[in-house]
Amino acid sequence: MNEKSMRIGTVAKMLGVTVQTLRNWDKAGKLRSMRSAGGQRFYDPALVRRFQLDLVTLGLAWATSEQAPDIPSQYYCERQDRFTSRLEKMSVELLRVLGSDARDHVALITLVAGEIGDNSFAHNIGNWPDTTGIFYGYDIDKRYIVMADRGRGVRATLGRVRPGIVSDIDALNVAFTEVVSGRDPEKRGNGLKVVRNVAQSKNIGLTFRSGIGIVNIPKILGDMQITMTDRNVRGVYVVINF
Amino acid sequence: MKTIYLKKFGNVLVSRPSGLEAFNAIRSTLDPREAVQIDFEDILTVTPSWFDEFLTRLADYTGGNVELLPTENASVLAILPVLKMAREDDVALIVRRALARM
Repeated sequence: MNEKSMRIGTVAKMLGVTVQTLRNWDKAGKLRSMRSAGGQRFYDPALVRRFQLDLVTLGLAWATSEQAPDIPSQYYCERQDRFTSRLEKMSVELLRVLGSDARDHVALITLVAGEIGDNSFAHNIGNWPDTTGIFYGYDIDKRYIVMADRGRGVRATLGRVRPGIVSDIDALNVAFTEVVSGRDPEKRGNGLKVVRNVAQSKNIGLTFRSGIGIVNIPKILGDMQITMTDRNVRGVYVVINF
Repeated sequence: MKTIYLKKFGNVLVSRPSGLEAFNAIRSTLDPREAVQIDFEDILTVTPSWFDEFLTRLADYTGGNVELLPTENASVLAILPVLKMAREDDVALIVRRALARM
């Protein structure tokens, strides 16, 4: 271990996860540590920094950690207007990279991300359990967008108007499939049904997690599946592939 | 008939509050007895929430006297079938008329 290497506690704090999570990641090969002569784990700072830039990992940490982890400010949208301006910027970059022939595809990618991000703000306004705002990052070269919030999740927000919903899977099923025809008492529209139709009929993949429920729509045309996972997401965690 | 050019509000239209803000911005220019038509030219994306809020307000204000101009905009074409199925009011009638023309 040299002076520049990092102890496991320091890395845990930096990534916003527990020491045990880092041990698990080490075993799984997700983030490898090195060992000192005495058997203590330590980490190469360059490796940790690269890991920190992995959007999928960062977004999941934002959605699952006990306390909100530190994330680079470029991925944090505290307020709706910041999200909207970054979404517009993304659409411009997508058009530049994918070309004007892909205008329809860009329009629909932007619709999916815009509706999901907007839902995070609309359904948690005044009720954020700890940290307001969303994680929003994208990598156009790798063709994915990651979004996450630490809000109340789909079951809690839908439960106010549908008290019969008892599980995360029920909640996701209602959100993505059942048409809500009334506007009151909650102005919940039908945005996620549009998102579902778009993802199922175009080459856009969607992973949408809330609580222990997970919605999967494959990128190559295919139907939606709603299943259960073993790890709880506090609010919502989403990966969009295109 | 008055035409509302959505591009005046931007080319990426996101969120319910912003749809309401857009309606409030043009309300003073509208006569509730006059029909209006919505032009989607130069719009890249409109999200379901923005459109639902804007169109519902507009339909309420004009008694449903709204027409959607034909468009090939992918986001609008994705939203209309769901709105048609979900709504049972003036908005549904507006959307049905528009889909019949597209």
